[in-house]
Amino acid sequence: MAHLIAYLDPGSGSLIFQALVGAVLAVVYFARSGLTQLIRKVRHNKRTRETSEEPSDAE
Amino acid sequence: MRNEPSSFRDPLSSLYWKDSRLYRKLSGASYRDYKLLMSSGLYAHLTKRGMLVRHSQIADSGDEVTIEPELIPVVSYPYEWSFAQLRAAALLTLQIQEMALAHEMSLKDASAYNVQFVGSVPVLIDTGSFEAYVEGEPWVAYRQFCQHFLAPLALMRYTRLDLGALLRLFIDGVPLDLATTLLPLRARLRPSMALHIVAHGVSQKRHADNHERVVARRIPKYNVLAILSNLGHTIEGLQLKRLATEWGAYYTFTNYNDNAFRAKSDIIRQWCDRIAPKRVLDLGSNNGQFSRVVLEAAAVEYAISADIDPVAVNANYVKAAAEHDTRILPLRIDLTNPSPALGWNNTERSSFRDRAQSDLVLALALVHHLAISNNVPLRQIAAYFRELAPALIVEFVPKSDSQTQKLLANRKDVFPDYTEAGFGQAFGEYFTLEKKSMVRDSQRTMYLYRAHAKTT
Repeated sequence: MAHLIAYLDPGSGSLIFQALVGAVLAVVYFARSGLTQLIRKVRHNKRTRETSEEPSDAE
Repeated sequence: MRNEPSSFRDPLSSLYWKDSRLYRKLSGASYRDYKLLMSSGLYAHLTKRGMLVRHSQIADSGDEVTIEPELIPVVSYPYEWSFAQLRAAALLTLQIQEMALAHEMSLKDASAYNVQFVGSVPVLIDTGSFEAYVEGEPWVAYRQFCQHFLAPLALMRYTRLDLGALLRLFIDGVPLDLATTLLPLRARLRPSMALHIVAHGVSQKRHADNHERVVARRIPKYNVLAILSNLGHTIEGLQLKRLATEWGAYYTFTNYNDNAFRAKSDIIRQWCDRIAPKRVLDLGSNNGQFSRVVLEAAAVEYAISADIDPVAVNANYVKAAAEHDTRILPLRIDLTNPSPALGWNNTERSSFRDRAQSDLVLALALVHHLAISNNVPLRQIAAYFRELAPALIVEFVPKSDSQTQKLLANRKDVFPDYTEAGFGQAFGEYFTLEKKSMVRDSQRTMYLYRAHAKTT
């Protein structure tokens, strides 16, 4: 990537650090959203199993 | 034509005044970014939600555009904001950056000075802050965001509520190494503080002197969004505990019973109708109770509600924000040391006196604090009020009042002139008495003054 041209000094320490913190938080973010999806899926499956056991007039 | 002194850092986006109207000129790369802001739908998206100031386009030459942004009633600065105000401004900045990224744009700065309050509603005022987002680029304003918002908010929350005033000393935000030193260990150990303040500060220090040109590593958009999301959660998690200060319980310990309070409100309403001020400056407003009484008068459009106590100002703002009030601006001001003119050439940030010019000053239960706690002669208090507005509603609290007695409890009474007669004489030098009224069920007296014609 070309070097940044910003009118504001982003700070070399801040730029280097941002790459690092971005990577760390992306993992956390990914893990968290993955976990939420998993929980949602499990709940959904459970709910569909529960509802399919009851007589349903849907569909 | 006169350049706006607060705007000089970005050469491609400049502000100037002409016939008392404010214009912004955008050229070069900023012109292309402006076009993208308008065509991407981001401008419409943000202005519809009141997050970005609206403007009208005046001229477009094909490589340069002039726009006229709507004016903010009263400009205020981060070092005058309560915790909740700085927090609201921080969250606004993050939300705007997230929306910008969704429109393939990015904020090129995250200055707290780019946010202004219309009453209690924060709004971004820098239309020139947006640039086209390039996939893989870091957020150039990350450093500024941490210094302007996160560090002072953390210090206010964990160290001392009045440390927002540090922004007055450090005009480009609180240095992260200083924040690290001032934060207690339990705060530094919180993961987000350890990252964005402590480790970030260490990285800044390590690379401070080697002036290398950083060929920044590619940062995927996903990672930038993860940083924004984490900053947002961190700031949302910063909540004030219920704090008690000297003013916290003022209205439960005042010398007013309900009758006196109602009587005082009635006097203020009547006199406001008589003076018909558009803008009122309420000094020593506590939680803004009487600012709200003033706003009931038909003529009053806007009230600046200033107090020294950070808890009271915070409570004032929280109430106003809950009601989406766009007419009351709570500010934390220490009248014994109000905000001076600051920054480059002492013109970048103007003084409180210059910005607070109003049609009426309301000074209730204030004069005894200035005169006795801070030893300001009554004559100088009158002169100061005269600088701020041509009309004044002021309350005199006599020495015999228990609140005044508290102030004198452990000191010599060196205030022989602090009498009703001395008060009348001092204020008579600058003002003409128009009305005077005892407050029922109290020892206090209210005065309505109009200024003498100003002599130079």
